[in-house]
Amino acid sequence: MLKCQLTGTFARSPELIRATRDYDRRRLKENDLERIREDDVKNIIKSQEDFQYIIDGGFLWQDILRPFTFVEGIDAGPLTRFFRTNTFYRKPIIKGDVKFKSEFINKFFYLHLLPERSKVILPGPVSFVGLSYDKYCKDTLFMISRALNRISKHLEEEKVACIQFSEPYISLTEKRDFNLWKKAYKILTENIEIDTLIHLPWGNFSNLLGILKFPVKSIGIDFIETSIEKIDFKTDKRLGIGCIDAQNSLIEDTEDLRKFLNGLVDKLSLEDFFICPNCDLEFLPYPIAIKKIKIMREISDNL
Amino acid sequence: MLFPTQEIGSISKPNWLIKKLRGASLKNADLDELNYWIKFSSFEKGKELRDILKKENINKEHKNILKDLSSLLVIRCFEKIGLDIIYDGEQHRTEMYQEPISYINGFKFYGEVRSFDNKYYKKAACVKEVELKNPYHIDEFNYIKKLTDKPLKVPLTGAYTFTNWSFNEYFLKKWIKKEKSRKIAIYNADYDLAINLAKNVIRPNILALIDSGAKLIQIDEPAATTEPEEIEIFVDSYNESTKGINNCKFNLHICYSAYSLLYPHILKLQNCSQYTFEFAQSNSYYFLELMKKNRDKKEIGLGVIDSHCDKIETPELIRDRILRAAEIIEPERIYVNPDCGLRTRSWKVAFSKLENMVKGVSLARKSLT
Repeated sequence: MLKCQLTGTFARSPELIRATRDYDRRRLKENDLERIREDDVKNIIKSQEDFQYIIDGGFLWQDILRPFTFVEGIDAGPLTRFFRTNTFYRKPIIKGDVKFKSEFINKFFYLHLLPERSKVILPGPVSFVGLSYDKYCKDTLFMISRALNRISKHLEEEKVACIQFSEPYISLTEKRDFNLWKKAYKILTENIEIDTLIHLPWGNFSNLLGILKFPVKSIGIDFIETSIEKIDFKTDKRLGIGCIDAQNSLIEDTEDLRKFLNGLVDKLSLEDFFICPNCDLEFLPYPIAIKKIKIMREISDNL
Repeated sequence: MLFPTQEIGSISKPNWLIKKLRGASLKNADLDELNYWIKFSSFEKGKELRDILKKENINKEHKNILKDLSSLLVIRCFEKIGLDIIYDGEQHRTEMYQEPISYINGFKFYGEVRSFDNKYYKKAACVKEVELKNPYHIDEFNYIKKLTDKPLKVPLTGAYTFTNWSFNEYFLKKWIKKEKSRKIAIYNADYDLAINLAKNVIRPNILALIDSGAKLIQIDEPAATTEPEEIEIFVDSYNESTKGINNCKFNLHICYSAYSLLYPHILKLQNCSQYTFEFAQSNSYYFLELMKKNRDKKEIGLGVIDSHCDKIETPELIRDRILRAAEIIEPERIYVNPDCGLRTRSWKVAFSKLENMVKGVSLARKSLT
């Protein structure tokens, strides 16, 4: 098995982009759109067949928080820039107690198409709250952590093998409260037996070492932002090495990457790790995103 | 006169135009809509327009005439509504990135990336040195300037936004050989690309527009604050684009951004008369406080209309938004506009919003006199 994982929404194929556009313009029926989308899902699953975990590409997620804007207690707010990208998301407005049946999440994943080593990606609670308007103003972070814990338990029952919590907000906020966040993660991961991963796109990990104490089994680090010279730590967690630049079409030089990875593995005495993109590959056009997967495979083969 | 009104840029392309350019047949509803706006604006070329639309097959010349007529119709609607400073709703343009990039050597398109939901844009990669093939928007400006006596404001995408919205392969490849830190390499590569674009593309294009008679140019930099560490690249590339040009007024339009990040960097902007920013959607009045605190005496183009919702703001709400701003900075420095281009709204919604904007300005003027 290759030491590789994808860690975010994948780029939609030109066919799927055309189909969603046609669907919006009422030139395509929902069933036809679904057929094309399922083709994309099957293709992306196939492209990861020898990876540690396999995702469905997140093609049903309009943004990292959108599914949650359909539950009671949360509304969809204004279109807002998603961090340092030219991509926008609907800012959730958390207005009261969040109520839902955990099964609602199933319609946003292709669980029936995913093989045994399936991974699903959810927003981490810190990013969830940080990216929302909090009109609830009570213990919102803990309420959201409990809600995500319920969803995670449900997904565990659905035989998902790994749950990734994406936390770009942790990476980019300057108001860091690792103790509070750790408590949130204790709630989030309570009674969850399967693999859990916290992924930190756009984060300089030398500022985020407090994450090492979080109750998750793996940590995904952005090594475009993080300089190898500036970090030195020991961990028994599995480390995701986000060295594939998902925001530049320049294809990585395999020799440069091999040297970097060997240097990092030596420096941190890493035993358990995987290669991944630094953030979602959806920030690249489809053909380039596919090439980046090939590079991951090539590097992993040669390690 | 207090609170001159202006639009920002894009208005959606009407169905009759999109369908006819695509060779699709028009429905009665499309023609009804067209007739409504012809009547609304007392459009003088309604017959010519309808005659072309009646043709089964149209050639390239007809298509160009249709774009010209759509542009004229938007101008007449703006005039009827009573906007003070106008353009043509960018009826000749496809959008603000892909089309200008096609006039620049050094870029290559790989495919589309998502902007939001099911909206995508074609994102190019810089693969070699950049240079302007031909100045763009010149024919469009030469056409529009003959159509109206109103002052024209030409929207032009800025160097930093091109940089931020493109993949930077060429300069990054150079810098990763010299620089160990990937982050520093990315910064240096972006700096080089932005300055090259400013010198070799944006500045010559600005000069060509001025040669054609442009007196007011709006530099669109929606990406200005996307990378907080790169705001100085935006400022330097803006200055490089407009350096020493004193026969034209420059407005800076930034939308959907964290404006608080702009200070102190924007105090270094050397040739900028106005910040044309979004206030309606994001309630960004803190920026006016920052202007005051920083003794920044530029004009403000106050966004009083949310470009991303169909709800029509009432004149009273618009008045209140203007008066709120006028409590913070001098009313003489306030221009009034939508948050951003209205291309995501139907004409009915966009023009209704603009009509109420003009009414709201009138109420605000009355309140202060």
